[in-house]
Amino acid sequence: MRKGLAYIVAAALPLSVGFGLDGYISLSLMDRYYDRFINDSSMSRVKTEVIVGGKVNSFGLEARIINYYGVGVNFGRLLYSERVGIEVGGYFEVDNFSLELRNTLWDGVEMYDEVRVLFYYFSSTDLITVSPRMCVSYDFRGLSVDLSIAASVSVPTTPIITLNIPVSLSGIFGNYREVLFSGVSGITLSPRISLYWKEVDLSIEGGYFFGLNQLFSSYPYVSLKVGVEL
Amino acid sequence: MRRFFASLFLLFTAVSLVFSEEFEGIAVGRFLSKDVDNTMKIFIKGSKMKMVPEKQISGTNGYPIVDFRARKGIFVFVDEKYYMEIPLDVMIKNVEEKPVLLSEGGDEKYLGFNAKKFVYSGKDFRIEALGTGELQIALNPFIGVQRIGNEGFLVSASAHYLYKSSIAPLKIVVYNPKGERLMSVEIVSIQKQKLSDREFEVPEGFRRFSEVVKERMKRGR
Repeated sequence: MRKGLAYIVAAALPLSVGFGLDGYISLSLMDRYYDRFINDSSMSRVKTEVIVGGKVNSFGLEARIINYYGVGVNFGRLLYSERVGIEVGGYFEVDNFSLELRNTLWDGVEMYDEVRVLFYYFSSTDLITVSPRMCVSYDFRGLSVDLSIAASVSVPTTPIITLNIPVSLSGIFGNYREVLFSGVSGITLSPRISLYWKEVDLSIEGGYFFGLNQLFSSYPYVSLKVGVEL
Repeated sequence: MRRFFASLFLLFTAVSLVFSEEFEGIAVGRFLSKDVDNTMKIFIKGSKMKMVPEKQISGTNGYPIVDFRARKGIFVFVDEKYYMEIPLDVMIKNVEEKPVLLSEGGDEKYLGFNAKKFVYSGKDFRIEALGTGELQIALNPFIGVQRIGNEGFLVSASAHYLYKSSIAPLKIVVYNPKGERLMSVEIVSIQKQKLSDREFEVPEGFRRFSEVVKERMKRGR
């Protein structure tokens, strides 16, 4: 009887408990220049998002409200667009491995699901990080896959300065934007410099998408992002 | 007769234990170079060391903690509340691959210890060092000085030579061929005292630098 009780008590004791709740708001400006397939000459977009999340041990939950406001130029005409999305997601993290599942509802109608697998490798001095990543996303247009690898160097100054250089290979399968296509769409190279203060993040990114199929235009883009921890 | 030899053996063991006890206490060291004049408090317990400078170094408020036997070390950033690993194994390898072979000079009294002088004369520099065998140290307290230029490497390598010879380095001075002092490190006071193991642990609430970066990068997606 005593042994049985001991086993029940041991099973009830948590191995370790950690709980964190945080909030984050960010504003990003992105400008893209391309002239085929999407049929826009250029597009600027402002993204505002608020994130609230919590974590218990290795599991975390996050909710985001995302607002995209875009201004596009199409054959000299200005076009405006706005989208609001609500994203909920969960993630599992153990050591340097992370698995994320996210579901986003855009404009109350359009569903977007995403699965991400991330892995981080840190050099012995913590200054260099290599992170391969796989992202599979699905919405009514089809399935898209992103395989990327990023190398970054971080310097322990105030603010922390990180230079991140990711390269990603994108693929699309199925009926994507009303085009029947399955295969690799392009490669994106998007170096980014980020500055991290205690509560504020600032990132500047300049990227180029190399279209590997005539259906997909190559285009450069530049992005500026500011985030504040709530 | 048997009892006599047994007692002698026990006595010998006890004496050996007393004299082989590794140093535990706090030393105050002074670092001097062309641009820097700084003092530091050096906490030592066996093969563990924490070196806290009096003034910030290059604008960074922090200090290293090392475990020499385990060949592991970290640097604690006090204001930012994170720490990062330092390549202690590489630093030890550096000074062992390029040793400075000091020659023994005369005897000298220093801080109440019977110390020995050591010298090295090279084409571009001269080194004078003082060390004592009366302190049992299990580490090279100046291993990190190698990061500060060529003179720093010479100080570190000289200290390592003494440490490997079971001599505690007390003072190391590097001169140029003209006899001008380029760099010196010296212990100015030393006190044996019991120290808690907590003195050599990561402070409460501090995170690893890689975790901080990982978290911020995830947010930036």
